[in-house]
Amino acid sequence: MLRIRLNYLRDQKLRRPDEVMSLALPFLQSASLHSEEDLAILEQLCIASLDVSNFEVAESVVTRLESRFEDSSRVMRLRGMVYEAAQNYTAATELYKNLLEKNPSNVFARKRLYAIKKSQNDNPVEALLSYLDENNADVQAWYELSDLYLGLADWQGAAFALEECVLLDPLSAHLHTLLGECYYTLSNSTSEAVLAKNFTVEPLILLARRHFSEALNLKRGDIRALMGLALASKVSATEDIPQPDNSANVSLVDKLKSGQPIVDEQLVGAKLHEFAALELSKNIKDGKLKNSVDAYMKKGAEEIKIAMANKESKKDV
Amino acid sequence: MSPQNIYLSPSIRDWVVLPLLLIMILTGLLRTLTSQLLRSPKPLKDLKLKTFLQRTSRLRSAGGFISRDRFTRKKSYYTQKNTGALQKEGPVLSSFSSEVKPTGGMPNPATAMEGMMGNASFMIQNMIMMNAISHFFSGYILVRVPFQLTEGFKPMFQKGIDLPTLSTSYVSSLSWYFLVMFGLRGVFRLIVGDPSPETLQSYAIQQSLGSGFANAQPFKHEQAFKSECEMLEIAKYRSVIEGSERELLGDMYPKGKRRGKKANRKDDIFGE
Repeated sequence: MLRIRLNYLRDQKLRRPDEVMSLALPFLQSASLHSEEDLAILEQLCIASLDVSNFEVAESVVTRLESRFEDSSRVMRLRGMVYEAAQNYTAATELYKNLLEKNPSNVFARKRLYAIKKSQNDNPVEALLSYLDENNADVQAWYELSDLYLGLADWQGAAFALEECVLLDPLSAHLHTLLGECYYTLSNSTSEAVLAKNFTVEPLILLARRHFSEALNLKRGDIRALMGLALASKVSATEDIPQPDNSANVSLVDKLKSGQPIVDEQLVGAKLHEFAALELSKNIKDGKLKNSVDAYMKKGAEEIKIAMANKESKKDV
Repeated sequence: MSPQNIYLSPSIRDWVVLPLLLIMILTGLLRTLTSQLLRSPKPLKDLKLKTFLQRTSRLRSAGGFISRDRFTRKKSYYTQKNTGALQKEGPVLSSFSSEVKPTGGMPNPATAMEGMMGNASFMIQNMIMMNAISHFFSGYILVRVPFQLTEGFKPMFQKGIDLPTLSTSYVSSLSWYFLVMFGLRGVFRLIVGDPSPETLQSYAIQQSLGSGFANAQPFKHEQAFKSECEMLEIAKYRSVIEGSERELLGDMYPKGKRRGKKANRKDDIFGE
């Protein structure tokens, strides 16, 4: 029945505004204000109607709820969302500040205040940083911060935010992929800050490669990570990678002490490129795309061969 | 001791067992309702500092998932002498630190009372009920429990009764009170139902604050920061990232040169 489907959507926190609108609209009139389930359905309807910009339905739901519950923070937050949707930001800000005064631990109100700043483009990075000052365990907030930085093309900031995300959720393949992409982009950057090694002394392209590998370890066959790995490994196999400073190279000393073999990063890059080519060919279903990717990878493999041959010849000299 | 079969008067059941049950259910409901009405959100002054410590402990535990150099840089952001975030008063700005001035160890009376209130009411009620029951309903056996304990429990469970030969499965009203008190917790959860998301949220935050008993003094962040700083400094970086390529490639991973260049040495007996 309708209710079962609506309850399911609520439980799983799925955002399907069209479906909810069609299922829940009859409840606008028929819902009983004394049944907890009906009230939850009304709340669901209100949020869905805001998603589809149906302000009349949202307004009628909220007024109906306000008539029954005068001082409920739950209803007030719906009212705040209606204000925001109507772009009445002053009223919304005031309402959320009221909510925070009543209950300083109201995370929802803090998030909405940030969202208002973002909609008005009023220094959202600063607002989000002050939110994160208090709620630094909120991985979605850090992810949002990385999104903001990416929008500003601040790759270092995005990498920083994504690192915090990774510390919060280390086993997420998606985060490692994004972090690898940030490092890859940074490695290409010609800005002085990057060249001066303000961000990190290790070669960024190797970091990118490692994070893509980790992403693939966590989720085999992820196309985005495979493409990232293909690009990063090609660059690391064809270009000369500057060795990191000795001061940061404690790992090398440790490796020597432990008897582990010293590997040639270019060779590893070549192998990774091979691996990526195999996996991409395995995992891409679309025929046309597969062909073009295969051709691209073949070209890359040849470039790598030439580069390795050059290296060998340089060594022999 | 063979199970004794004593026939208990039904009027005990009608006038004591069931009314006691009813009284306890009603007082329990009363308690939960009044606590809901009196609940006030705790001030979150200490929240920033406490959650900052979570951040550093995350660095210690999940640090292997970021690169070595980034880990070292983050570590020194926290621990660097004089300028590190843990050496100062955390990342928070000056306007905040003035509120959290240490009061020389003397407990802040306002917060002490607030913290105690929650549990105090429960304790007081318990005391009152226990005394009332042992006063009004003493001197006779109430129920027979299905298990037998040793003789040592007799003075506890058979308070007003002085029969040395009575099996310990026959108990007095006080023990019925205890039984019911522990048993009714689950029943209350069914009756009261699920709390709304806001209350759950504020419970979670209060829990993370460690409030309830703990807020007799303002959170001593200097001590906690110092110990966290030391822990960070000795934390070992165990990289997951550096081994990821090897794990991914498996056999395809190129075998590197070993120390002593054994691979390059020509084999004397077998030739190349």
